[in-house]
Amino acid sequence: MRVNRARAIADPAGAAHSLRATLGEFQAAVVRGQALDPVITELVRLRCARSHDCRICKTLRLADAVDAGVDEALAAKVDRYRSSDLSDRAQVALAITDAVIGWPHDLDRALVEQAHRHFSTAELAELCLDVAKWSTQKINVALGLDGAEGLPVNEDGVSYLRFGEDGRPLGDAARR
Amino acid sequence: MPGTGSASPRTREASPADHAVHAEQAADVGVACEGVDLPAWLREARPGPTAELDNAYRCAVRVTDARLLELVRLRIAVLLGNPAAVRAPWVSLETLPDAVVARLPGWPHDAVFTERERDCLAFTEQFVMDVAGLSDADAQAMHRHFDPEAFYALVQAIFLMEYAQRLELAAGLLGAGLRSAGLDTDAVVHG
Repeated sequence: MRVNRARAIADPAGAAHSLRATLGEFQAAVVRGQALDPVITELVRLRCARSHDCRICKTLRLADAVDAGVDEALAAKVDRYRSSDLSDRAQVALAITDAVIGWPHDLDRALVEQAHRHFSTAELAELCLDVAKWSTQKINVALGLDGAEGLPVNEDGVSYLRFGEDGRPLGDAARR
Repeated sequence: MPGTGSASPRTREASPADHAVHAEQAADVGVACEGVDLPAWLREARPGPTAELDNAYRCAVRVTDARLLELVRLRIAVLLGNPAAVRAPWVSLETLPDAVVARLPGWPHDAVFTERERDCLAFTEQFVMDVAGLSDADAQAMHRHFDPEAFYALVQAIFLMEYAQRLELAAGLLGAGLRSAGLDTDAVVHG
């Protein structure tokens, strides 16, 4: 079991907190983007969560995406998306995600053409930055800070996440 | 070949505010880091987040050991197949000689790298390739060399060095698709 490896940090004004603050600003700025639809956003987020094995992120569901139709059956298709009946558009988004978080050179000519066929430039920009934002979970995974034990969950074992207009996460995760 | 543009980190002349934290670093910094080398189409589409990413990247460069972070960054470039990565101009040759950089491929067994550097590079490789595979022992090795503050800062900095390059590569390839499709970047929706 992954344990907390971070140890207590005494100085709230130190380097670690400075970096954390700037990363927080980046993440909030990414989340404020509105170009990419919530369903694709959530499928991409889940792909990142499962690829990086972030326990808390795997437990969460974006409330906006659930409102737009993402249920557990759809979420489960992320794991084997290439053989699923997910739309071509969703599969291309997930393939782009895999390339960004895995081997970027997998963005070959065919995939790049598909990317531009299914997504506008604005959507692709948001998708790339979304992957970077969700992937900040790697920091928590590395430090063992990704535990989901304290998260309120519903009968499906998931918790819901909403963001405010400022791009920051809102509290009260379990309720939609 | 990825269309990554210039591929060298963005630079500008250093201001007094850039000489921070590490006295030995401040002594030989002549060029400061401006941020991440992202393709224009991405910056034009999402100026807000890309500017914030630059801020975070600059912060990482400011608050971490220059030689160590540059070794991390260059090793990540190899792991990601980033052929265009060049050494950062804000890290002087005194701090990190070219001869040491040339020996980076053999870091696990080369005594030119300190134990601290080798443990950090091992941690970096695992972080980049399979973060969930990091063990408590990997973290313990880092705690031998870094206090909690420095360790936490370094992990965040490793993330930024990794994702700056991932974005440079991926967005560069996607941008090549924009150019081949003849898309007008002036028509990009600003985020």
